[in-house]
Amino acid sequence: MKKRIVSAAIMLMIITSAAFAGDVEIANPKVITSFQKEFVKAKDVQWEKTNGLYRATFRMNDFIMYAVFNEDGSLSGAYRNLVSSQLPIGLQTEIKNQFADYWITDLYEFSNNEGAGYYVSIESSGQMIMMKSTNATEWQIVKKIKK
Amino acid sequence: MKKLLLMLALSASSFAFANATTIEPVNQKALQSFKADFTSANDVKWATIEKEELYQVSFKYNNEEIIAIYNPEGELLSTARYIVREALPIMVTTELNKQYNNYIVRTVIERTTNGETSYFVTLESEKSSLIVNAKPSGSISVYKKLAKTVFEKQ
Repeated sequence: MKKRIVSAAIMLMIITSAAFAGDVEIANPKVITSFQKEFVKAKDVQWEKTNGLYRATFRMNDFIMYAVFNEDGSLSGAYRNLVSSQLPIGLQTEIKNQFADYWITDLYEFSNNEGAGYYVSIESSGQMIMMKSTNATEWQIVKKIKK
Repeated sequence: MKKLLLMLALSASSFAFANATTIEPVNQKALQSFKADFTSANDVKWATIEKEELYQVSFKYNNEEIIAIYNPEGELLSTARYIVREALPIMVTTELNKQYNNYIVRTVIERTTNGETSYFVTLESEKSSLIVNAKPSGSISVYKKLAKTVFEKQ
């Protein structure tokens, strides 16, 4: 459980735009080569860098994506924001049926060396719940915060 | 044709549809589970799969056509629905772009069986058409090669 919370915190830090400096010219050929190999149809690429991590913001197949690379060119993770209708059906129905009084405040899909999955933050008048799914069929609660 | 492809995706999980028979009313446990799982479903049609003693329900949910399979105990065994290609997981999209760069995506079916979700993607190029099965991790295998004429007739 502790590991999950740490992973969630890292992912949140990575996706927070403020953590990255503004647009930079990427001179790291390993990162460029790796990016072009992984995301062959990427368009409108913009780069940012912080703490030795490179983040590419780009358009692929008509959606905006983010990919984070290490200095050595290895892909640290990729993610994108989603709307709830893009979730697998089991994850949609679980939120709708079990958290009917909650609304979604943040939803994104991730892919990193831990695997692929989804993070969602939902809120009610009384609390905020953060959940993760790595099997695309059910949510696991990562954190609950009372308001 | 579209419903047939949904059934094809579900049949890949070993359920047989050849003997599906429309029924009303359906098994009560399956019905109760279905109502709890898909509270806002409409256009609901039930059928039995006699050979497997399973219940197949097709319905609309959030304006999407879905097919689900329940057993007599009311357990949801499998679902299949069409999704837009933008809803494919990141790694599936990147692998399709890498491995099938010359193909266009015709249809995408999301299938969930035994707690695992996978995607059946119909691809077409100038020379060939095929259905691939993709895992959320981006692992892709060819499920079926199609005669080119399948799409030309549509």
